[in-house]
Amino acid sequence: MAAVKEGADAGDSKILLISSDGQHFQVTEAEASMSKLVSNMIEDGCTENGVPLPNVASNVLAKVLEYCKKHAAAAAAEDVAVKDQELKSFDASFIDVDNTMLFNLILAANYLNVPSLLDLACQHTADLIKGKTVQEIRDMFGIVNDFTPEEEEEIRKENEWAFEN
Amino acid sequence: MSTGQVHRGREGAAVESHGEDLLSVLPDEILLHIRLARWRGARGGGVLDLEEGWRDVLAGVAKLKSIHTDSDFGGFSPDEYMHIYTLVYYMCTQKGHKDYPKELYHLCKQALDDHLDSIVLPSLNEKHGNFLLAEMLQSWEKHKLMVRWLRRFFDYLDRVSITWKSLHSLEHMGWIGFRDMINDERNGLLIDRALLKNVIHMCNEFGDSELNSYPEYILKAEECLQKEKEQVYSHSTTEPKDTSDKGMALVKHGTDTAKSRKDKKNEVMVGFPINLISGSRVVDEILGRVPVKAPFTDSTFEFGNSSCNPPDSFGYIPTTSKSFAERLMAPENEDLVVMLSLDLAEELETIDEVYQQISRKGERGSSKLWKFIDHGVKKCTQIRRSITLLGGSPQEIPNYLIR
Repeated sequence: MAAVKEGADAGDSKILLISSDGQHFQVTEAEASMSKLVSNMIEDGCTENGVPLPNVASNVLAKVLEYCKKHAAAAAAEDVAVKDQELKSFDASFIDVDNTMLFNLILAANYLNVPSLLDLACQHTADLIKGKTVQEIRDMFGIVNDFTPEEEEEIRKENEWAFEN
Repeated sequence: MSTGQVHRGREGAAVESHGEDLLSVLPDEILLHIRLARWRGARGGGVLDLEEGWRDVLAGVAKLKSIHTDSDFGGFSPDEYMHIYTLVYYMCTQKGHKDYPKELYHLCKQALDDHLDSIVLPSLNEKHGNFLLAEMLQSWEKHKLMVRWLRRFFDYLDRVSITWKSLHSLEHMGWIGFRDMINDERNGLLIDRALLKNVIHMCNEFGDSELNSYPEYILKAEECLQKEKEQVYSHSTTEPKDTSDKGMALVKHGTDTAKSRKDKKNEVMVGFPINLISGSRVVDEILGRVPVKAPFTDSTFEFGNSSCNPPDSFGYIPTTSKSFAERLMAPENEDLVVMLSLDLAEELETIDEVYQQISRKGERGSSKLWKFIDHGVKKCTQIRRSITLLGGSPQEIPNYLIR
C-alpha cells in the first residue's frame, strides 16, 4: 500500500487485511468499513492480528481498497456538490478496466459486501452488453455455448418475451 | 495465507504478548489454508458436496453452543470468522445445478431449532413462576447473542438468497424459533406456558409501542408477576411464602442488570412476531410475505389484546382439522413442500417486480411484460398443483397478476 494516505486521520485505528496470496494491506477503519463484512468484524472485535481474505487476490484487493479510500475520504469531506462531481469522475476512470479485472472486482465486491462498488461494476458490465446480440455477448465475454440446439430452443421459448420486438 | 505475518497493535507498536498467540494460532492457520485450498480445488472441478460443506460449517460454529452453558463466551478469531463466512459464500455461489442457498437456509433453521429443543427448552423445564421467568429472560438474552453470531456467518446467505426471495431474515427466523419453542408441545416437555405467553405478549406490546427498551420490559414483567400472583396463587398453597421474596429479588436483579446493559449498549428489546397466515407451519414460517389482498383465515394466530390476562382468556392457537392433517404430512414430503414453496415465492417475487415496472411505466412496453407475467403465473400454477398433491397449502397467486 502506498505510504501516502490522503484523508487518513492522525491516530485513526488501523486494520490489517491479508489477501489470498499473503500480501498485507494496512488501512484505516473508515476505509475498511466500506466493506460491511469487515465493518461487522470490527464491531465484533474480530480483527486482531489481521483479517484473512482467502477469496481476494492482492491485485484485486489493492484496486478495491483504492476505491474504498476515495469514497471513505469523500464521505468525510464537507463540500457536497464538488464531492459528488469528483466522485463521478473518479468512478468513471476507476471502472475503465479490462474484463478480467472487472469480473474480479464484481466477485470481490460481492464477497466483501461493498454495495456501491458492486453497483458500479455491475452497471458498467450491463452498459457493455446493452443492445448487443447473444452471440456478440458470448464473443465479448468468451462464453462457450455448451447448450444443445434443443436446450437452446427450449430456453429461448421460455424467455421468448425478451426476444420479441 | 502467509505464515510470515507481522503482529501489530496500534500503528508501529509491537505487542510482545501476541507472539504467544501466534504460536497457538498457527496450526489453525495451516489447517485453514489446507481447507480453503481444497475448496478452491473443488470449485474448479466438481461440485462441493453439501453434506461435507455443512459438516464443516457446523464444526466452525460448534462453540456457539457454549453461549448457553458457559457464563463467559469468548467470541471468534478473525481466522475462524472468515473461514465460516467463506464456506457459506462458496456454497452459495459455486456453479452447478443444485440450489444450495435454499438447502443451506433450511439446514440453518433446522440446526437452530435442534439447539433450542436440546439445550434451551430443558433448562426451562419444570421451572415455575419467578424462577421460570428469570430463566426465560436469561435464555432469551443468550439466544439473541447466538442469533447475532449466526447472522454474521450466514450474512451472505441472508443478503443474497433471502433478500431476493422475500423470506424471513435469519434474525427473524431466530425469533420465530424461540417463540415456537415456547408455544409448541415439543418432546412432551412441560413448561409454565401461561406465564411465558404473558411475557411474550408484553414483548409484542413493546414492539409496537414507544416502551421498546429492555429495562421497561423488566419493570413491566415485575408488575405482571405481581398481578399473576394475585390471580393465580391467591387460591393456591403450592408456592411457599418464603420463595416470593427471592423471586422478586431475582426480577430486581434482572432489572438492574438490564439497566446497566442498556447504558452500555443502548440495546432495544426485539418483539416476537405473531401473525402468520394459514398453511403448513414450516412453510408459513419460511414464507413471511403475505400476498396483497390475500385474506387471513381462521388459522391466523392471535393472542389476547391486553396484558396480564388470566390463562383462560388467552386466544390459544386453534387446532383446526387442517392443522391436524398437516401434522400428518410425511417428513420427506414436508421438506419437498418447503423447497417447492421457496420456488413459488421466488417466482411470485419475480413477476411482482415486473408488475411494478408496468405500473410505473404505464402502457409503454406493457404487452411484452404482461407476456412474461402470464408465463410466470403459468409456472406458479404448476408449482401450486405440485404442493397441493403433496399435502401442503400453497401460497395464493394475487389477483392483480392474473389477466
